[in-house]
Amino acid sequence: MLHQINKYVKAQIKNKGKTLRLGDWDDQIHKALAHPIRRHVIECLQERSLSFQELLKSVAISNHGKLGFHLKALEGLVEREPSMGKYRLTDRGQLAGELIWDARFIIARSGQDLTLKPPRYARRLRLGDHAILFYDTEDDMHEITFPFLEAGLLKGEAVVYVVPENEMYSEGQEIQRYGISVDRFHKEAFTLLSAEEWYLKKGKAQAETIIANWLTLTKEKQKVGFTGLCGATEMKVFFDYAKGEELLRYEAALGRYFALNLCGLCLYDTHRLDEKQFIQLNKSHGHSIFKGIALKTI
Amino acid sequence: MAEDFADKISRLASKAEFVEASKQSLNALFGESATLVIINHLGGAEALQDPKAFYNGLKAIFGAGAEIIMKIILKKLETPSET
Repeated sequence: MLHQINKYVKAQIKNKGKTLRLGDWDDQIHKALAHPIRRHVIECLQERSLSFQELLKSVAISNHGKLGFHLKALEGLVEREPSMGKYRLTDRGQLAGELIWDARFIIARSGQDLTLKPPRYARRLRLGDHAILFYDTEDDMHEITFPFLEAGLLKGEAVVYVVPENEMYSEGQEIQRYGISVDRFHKEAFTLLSAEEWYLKKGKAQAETIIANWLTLTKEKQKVGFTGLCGATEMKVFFDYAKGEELLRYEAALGRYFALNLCGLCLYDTHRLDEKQFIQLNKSHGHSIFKGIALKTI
Repeated sequence: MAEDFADKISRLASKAEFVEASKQSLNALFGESATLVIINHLGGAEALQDPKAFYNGLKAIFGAGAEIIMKIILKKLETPSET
């Protein structure tokens, strides 16, 4: 499989080099991606910035010198953040990561192998996508939702995180703990919203009103200069207020894909769903994400 | 839970019927190509031969969602005319 990845990456670099006129940096990327540890470093940094110690743990090697050697070989693809001192990918590093992922995806489609990583899948959702996350625990939910929100910020989208009112403070803390520094971005880039305020107006949950609000908010954010709106929304408020039927109507009305510049990840605690809700909610979304697998459902 | 599921399956259906009901249920939920990915992820067609192993495999990737999927499969076996 490694041979296939190398072969694919070489071909893609050749093509992308031609298209993007990237000059002779393909030698650098070839060298960098020739070693499994270096590929693994790039894949880990695609998820988030990491300190040296965190990288050691993620790459699962104990030899500091060995990791230092490979980080040096990745110069130009990996850099250290000036403020936190954590390692992150440069633009070229991001492209290298995309190449590795593309290669894995192509190999997977040929039925040979695939390591499906839901957090990475969530990061790759785009404007227009309507995805659902079925989670078992809060930790599982954070593990997939936060990379999704972070990717939205990095792509220049405005990000909205809708959570129950009584969890707004704790979720704000969790986001910081995860390492998303919202201060790095435009002051309107990140908004934490109360689910009760967003979904329930005067005790009612009307699909048309909520959808109109999404449309308005998306347009407002675009006027400010954002490419679109990326929203992760915790849906338990519908169950807390016994609005199960309204919820199904709302999700069905949104459709599997959005015709506007909105990317949505709807968060559902699986334990609260019955079979009918599970089936219908799954059908109302274009992408389904679980703890260990993520799928395009069409 | 896995034992319960395997026990119910053995009482309700033959292996071939279980394989068919599982495929149909996954198809109805996720579509044909996603079903192929899931079965491949579980270890290929052989994964469907052992209901207990199948349940454990689904549990690993779908978490609590596996129980709902199993209920859907069981329902299909109990009432085969329903799609």
